[in-house]
Amino acid sequence: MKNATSRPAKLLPLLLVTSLLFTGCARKNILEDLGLITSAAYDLAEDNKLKVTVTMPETSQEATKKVQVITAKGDLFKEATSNISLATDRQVVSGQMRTAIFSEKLARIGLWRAVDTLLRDVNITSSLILCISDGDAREVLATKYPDHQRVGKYVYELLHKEAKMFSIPKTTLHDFSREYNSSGADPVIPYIRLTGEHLLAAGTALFRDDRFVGSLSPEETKMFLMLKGSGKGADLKQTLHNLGGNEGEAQVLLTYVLSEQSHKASIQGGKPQIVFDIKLFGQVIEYTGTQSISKKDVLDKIEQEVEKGLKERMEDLIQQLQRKYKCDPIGIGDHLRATGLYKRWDHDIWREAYAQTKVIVKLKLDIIRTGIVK
Amino acid sequence: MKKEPVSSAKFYALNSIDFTQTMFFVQSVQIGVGLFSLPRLVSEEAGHSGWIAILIAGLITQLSVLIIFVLARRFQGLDLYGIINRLFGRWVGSLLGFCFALYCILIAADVSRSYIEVVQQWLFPASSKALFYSLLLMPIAYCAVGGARVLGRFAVLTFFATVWMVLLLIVPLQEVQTDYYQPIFEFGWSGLMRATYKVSASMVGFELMLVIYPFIQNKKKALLATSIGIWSTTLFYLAVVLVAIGFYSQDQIKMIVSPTLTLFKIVMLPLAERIEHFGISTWSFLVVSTAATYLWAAGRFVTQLKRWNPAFSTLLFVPLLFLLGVYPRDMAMLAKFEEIAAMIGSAVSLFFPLFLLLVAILFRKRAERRPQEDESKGAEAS
Repeated sequence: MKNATSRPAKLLPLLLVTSLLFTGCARKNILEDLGLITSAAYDLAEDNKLKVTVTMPETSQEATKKVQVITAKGDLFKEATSNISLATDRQVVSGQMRTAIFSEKLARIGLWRAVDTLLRDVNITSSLILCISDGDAREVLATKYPDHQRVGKYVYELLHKEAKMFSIPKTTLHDFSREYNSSGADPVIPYIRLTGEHLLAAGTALFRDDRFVGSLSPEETKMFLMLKGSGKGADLKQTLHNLGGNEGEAQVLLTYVLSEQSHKASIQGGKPQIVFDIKLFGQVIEYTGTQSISKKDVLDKIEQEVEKGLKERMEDLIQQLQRKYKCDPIGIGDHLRATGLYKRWDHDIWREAYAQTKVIVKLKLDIIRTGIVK
Repeated sequence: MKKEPVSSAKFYALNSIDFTQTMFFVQSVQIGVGLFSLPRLVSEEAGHSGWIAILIAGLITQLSVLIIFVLARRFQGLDLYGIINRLFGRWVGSLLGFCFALYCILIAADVSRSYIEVVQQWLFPASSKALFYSLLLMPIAYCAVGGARVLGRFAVLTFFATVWMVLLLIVPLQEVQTDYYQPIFEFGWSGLMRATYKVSASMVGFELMLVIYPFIQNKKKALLATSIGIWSTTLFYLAVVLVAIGFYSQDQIKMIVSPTLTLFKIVMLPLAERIEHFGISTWSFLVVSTAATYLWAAGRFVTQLKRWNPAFSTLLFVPLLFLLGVYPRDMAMLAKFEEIAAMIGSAVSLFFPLFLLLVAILFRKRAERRPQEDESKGAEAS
């Protein structure tokens, strides 16, 4: 029995070994010959064509610049990208792309087409970070930053770091697609501005569906992100108007703010209502008042004042989002749907319900430390 | 070459598989490429409550496994082909057995070709599909020729080679949004039933217990091993689907071809990114073990019918497997092929054992008279 079974079986390992020879058949990617796109900028050209600019690190010894910046036009995003390849000796690949920058002008007509082609491409990672530039997106990449040789990395690191500080949202390709494709939330994208020789993280670009409708400042973005979810790391400044006694106005800056958000949606008298319950824990790092903050009653007063101030700012922000921009980046629609109080739910019902929703913010601040001086 | 006692108790004992192997055997045959698209399939039919369908499918699978074991215990020492022959006589039995062998090849081709499609989509878009397919067929044929014991051992290897991927779910788990699960029990029954049907295609594989049953060492504990196997598959599916439902919004998940793979796209380890590429390559273990087992099961038909050498009879089916696999030209054709295979797969795995059992009960006398001689030996050997 043994001999008989093993004859064909002996042939197979031989075949398996032969298969190693096939490894040469796949398309080769030799690192030195590749143009690795690290970031791409998308603009709308004057003739309504699309303009795509990419940066690729230059590795050859003779090169005086560390980065190649190439711009090309086309009717389609990928057409423009492949036109880029005409202008370089490298094989252009997009597997290392980390950031995609869109101009505000392009974002105003709708971003979904651009995002869709990025999603369709298997080589592009879902953690690609998106951002909107105030002016021309090409300028962001084409500008020479004296202290930053590699512009792709510069943009990426800036966005990454500021997202941790809560001054801009973190929006990956996946996040955008997830919120665009949800009947209950609108996407947001970080907003950047070119100021002379620097890039500035300028807050949040708001979208209604996939169209840019307005932007929030970094301070407003902090309020927005605290309403959207929990997190830690933000710095918060608050002006205290009414400290009592003969004290006038004072300013306080809290650092390492930890925020915990919870919410409860309901329908009250036929109208949707949502209560956000936000707990903040922070440490005082700067204070301009004259009273000693190590006293309990002074600290309590400061807490109350900050709570009041932040609450007002949040309510004001929600007013703006509901009335002025008519978009729902917080995802109130999703919260409402999740209650199960609606029998049917779709895009239109969401828009209608969102406009009517009464939003109540409850805020509790706990100052846990006041620094290392009394 | 001709005188091999390929269905004797001695042959079974020599190639037997133990408790652990049985457990992993069931699991690795069940998990194939179906999991790649599973979250989308359930969401398309039952929305965010689609995960309930996985549990229902698990229960149905358990039920069919019970039927399979009632049937197998009734014919101790016989496998599926033997049972069919006892029930329907040599001619009709052989015809039915041949159909089952064809079914096995169909599923094997479906799994391996779908896997090739994923490899081409994600890793090598420009490479030849026939070449890749024939490369994949080599380990499949190699395992299948090895017989039951090799398949059992390979299943254990497959489990340990792939189980680490569960850990990768931790990353998307952090991005899960609880709103997407609520309201929890909001579903329509018809949608849920359709979703269950879609899931059942990914559960297919346990029906091969009928073929491997005589090879199981400890038949008393076989049911327990099989049940552990199917429930670990079910729980694994459930984990993936639950994470996916929270990770994607509902309209988003419906437009992603393989949500399970796209889940891994956001994983970034300190040293490596694009973990999905590791995932796809590692998945070949699961594909090989599934396809090899089906190929072997088809080979058992010829082995028993003609008493030919098992290795030779298994290899007989390889050309057919190749042709069936390369037949679908493009994505649309492959989708159709997968749909048909899924339909036949669910039907065969759920209803064929039930049908056999009913026939066996109806024609009680014919079924139980003859196995007696073999049975006593088979029981001793185990």
